Amino acid sequence: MRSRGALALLAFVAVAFVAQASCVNVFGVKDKEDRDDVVDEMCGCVQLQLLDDCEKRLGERFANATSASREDWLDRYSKNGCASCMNVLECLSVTPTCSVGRCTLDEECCQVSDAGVLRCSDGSCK
Amino acid sequence: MKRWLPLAAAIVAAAALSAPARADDNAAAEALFQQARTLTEQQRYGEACPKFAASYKLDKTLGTLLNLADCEEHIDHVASAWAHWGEAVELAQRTGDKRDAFAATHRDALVKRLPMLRLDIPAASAALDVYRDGVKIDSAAYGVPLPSDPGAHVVSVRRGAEALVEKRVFVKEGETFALALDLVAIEKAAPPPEAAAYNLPPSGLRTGGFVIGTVGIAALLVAGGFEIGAIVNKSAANEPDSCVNKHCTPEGFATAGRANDFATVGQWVGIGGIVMAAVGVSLVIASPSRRAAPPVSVSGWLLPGSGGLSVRGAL
Repeated sequence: MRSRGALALLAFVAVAFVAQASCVNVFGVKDKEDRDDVVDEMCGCVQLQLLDDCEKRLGERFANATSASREDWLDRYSKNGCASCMNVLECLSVTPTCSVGRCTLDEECCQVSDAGVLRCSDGSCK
Repeated sequence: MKRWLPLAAAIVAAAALSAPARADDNAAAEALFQQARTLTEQQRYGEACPKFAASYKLDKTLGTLLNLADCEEHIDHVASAWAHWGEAVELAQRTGDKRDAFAATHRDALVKRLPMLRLDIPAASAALDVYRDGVKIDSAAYGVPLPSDPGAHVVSVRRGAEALVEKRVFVKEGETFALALDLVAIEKAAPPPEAAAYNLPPSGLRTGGFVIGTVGIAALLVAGGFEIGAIVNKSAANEPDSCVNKHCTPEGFATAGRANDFATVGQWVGIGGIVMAAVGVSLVIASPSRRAAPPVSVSGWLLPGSGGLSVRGAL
């Protein structure tokens, strides 16, 4: 009787440890390690190093954006290869990362707005 | 002299206190005896014998004992009658009663009719006892023909209160019935519970098993909650406004991280729960039962992040 109990215990411990290897992959995000935060990526580029509080600034713009604009922006980011610093300014000038107010670079101002093409002058898009 | 006075007073008091009870016993014994005599006159020996026996139990007089032996002889309880005739001979000789010869004649006449039951037991066991009709047989009587009333008798081998073997035998007048019992083989076939292997008493093992098992099941439920949290965050992280081709907004990236954190916590809590549930079930199974329990079957299932155990049988 005791040996039966010990066998049951061993079997469950073995199954538990086998399950342990797959549990995070099933319920967690499988490729989490490969995913990137676009704000971290962009602010890591030398072209955006002039932006004060780059991560905070872009992060707030994403947080205030609509779901549809975030979706479009991510799609463009992926298609245009904005993960490469060579192309990062192409994506910066698109909603929601672009601005119609505070700015540091011309590329930070939204290229398409009610006022047409904006330029950064004296710290604000005009 | 004065020193003995209190003792004498105590003896007198005790005698006074016990006297009414004794008188009651005697009265009851007399009433039973009279009823038994009436039944005997009506040839209803089957009903009379127990009353003679009850009367003799209350008041051990030779007259009652002789009537009891005679009654038992009438209903062919040869062994009981033979034993009571013999007891009557001894009682009569002790008290100088001349009826000892009468009792001896009856006793000796029954010898040829006596049915015998012999228990052939090659080796006694310290753990097992042998009973005949619920009365323990001393190991010194193994192999000795024992006078038994004709008819059916139950011989059982017990370990404490647990009957391991029970045999029904039938003995006839003038014959000896031999019953072979191998106590060593019986003991080997039914080994004692293994409770001694544990330091905890059996009830402690069982209780501990239930407590640990319950905590394990609770942990599995908590793990299930964490896994649900992981699923919710995972699906949010996979929305197209959160992540596209592994490029995520800050919120989407944080959501993916939360999904993984929930899954990791749920996983370890779940594993702990499974192990505790398994330990609990093992302890419950391993704890010995005082009676023979029906077979216990354990089956388990495991899904990612959750699992369960089912136990069938008596615990």
